[in-house]
Amino acid sequence: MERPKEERLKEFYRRLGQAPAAGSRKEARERLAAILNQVEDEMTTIPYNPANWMSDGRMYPPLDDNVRNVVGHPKVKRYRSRNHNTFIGSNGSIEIQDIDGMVEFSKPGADGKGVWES
Amino acid sequence: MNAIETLARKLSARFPEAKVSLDKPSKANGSWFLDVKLGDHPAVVEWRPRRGFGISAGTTHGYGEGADERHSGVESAFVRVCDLLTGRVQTMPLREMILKQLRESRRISQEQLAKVLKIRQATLSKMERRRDMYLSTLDRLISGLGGRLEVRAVFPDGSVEIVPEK
Repeated sequence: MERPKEERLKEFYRRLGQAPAAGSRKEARERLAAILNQVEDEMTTIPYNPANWMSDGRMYPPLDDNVRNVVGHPKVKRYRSRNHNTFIGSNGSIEIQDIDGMVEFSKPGADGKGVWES
Repeated sequence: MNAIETLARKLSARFPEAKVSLDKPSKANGSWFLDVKLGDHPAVVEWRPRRGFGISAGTTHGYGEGADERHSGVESAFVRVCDLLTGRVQTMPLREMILKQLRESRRISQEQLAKVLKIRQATLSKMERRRDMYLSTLDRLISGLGGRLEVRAVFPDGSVEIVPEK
């Protein structure tokens, strides 16, 4: 039985917040992906199929194809998805904003610095 | 000018009061995003040259989801986005839970619909999760929601409604 997306997203943010801080962008992306996939596997019955471009009801981690540079912040990359921008710093920091720029989640990297301080 | 830039220009001309912004990818083969907001109603268009346009509208509580609808050409995408914005329509993904979402979007509870259909709520719950069902069952469900089921066969040169024998 699928749990509502709102509940799954809340759980994803909770687990990501509790996870150890990442020390690099690669580590941060891998951790984010692992936790989101774990939440979706546990709370939905929708199979993991990232090749499916259309919505299948499942939430997916940021894709390489959707990366953008951030003007004025060369150490930060932005990953665009339908309703969010996920900013990941080279120090492993993460900030997830909705499309209107409202911060929904933020976590410093292993050096204690946030995305915009990296 | 590529297809998504053309769409952005057409939408800006059609809705001068709307907020229209284009989000270009860093990679040449990456996805473009076009965000359009008319009042407080948003629509998002994702585009890649070989995939066409992925369109979604309305609010969602998810993260990293794909598009709800797919359109291949600029004109078709333009017409659909206009409809979504003017009608303040919320798109929905085409998947197995769509009947449940359809019922919820009409603000009818499982209990209420089960009563109308004269079946048990548990039976309705199973019906909503079913991957395949008789057209007559689907017809009954849609009727219970106050609608009418139409089945249409679509071909490149036209479409025809299929009317089941009663």
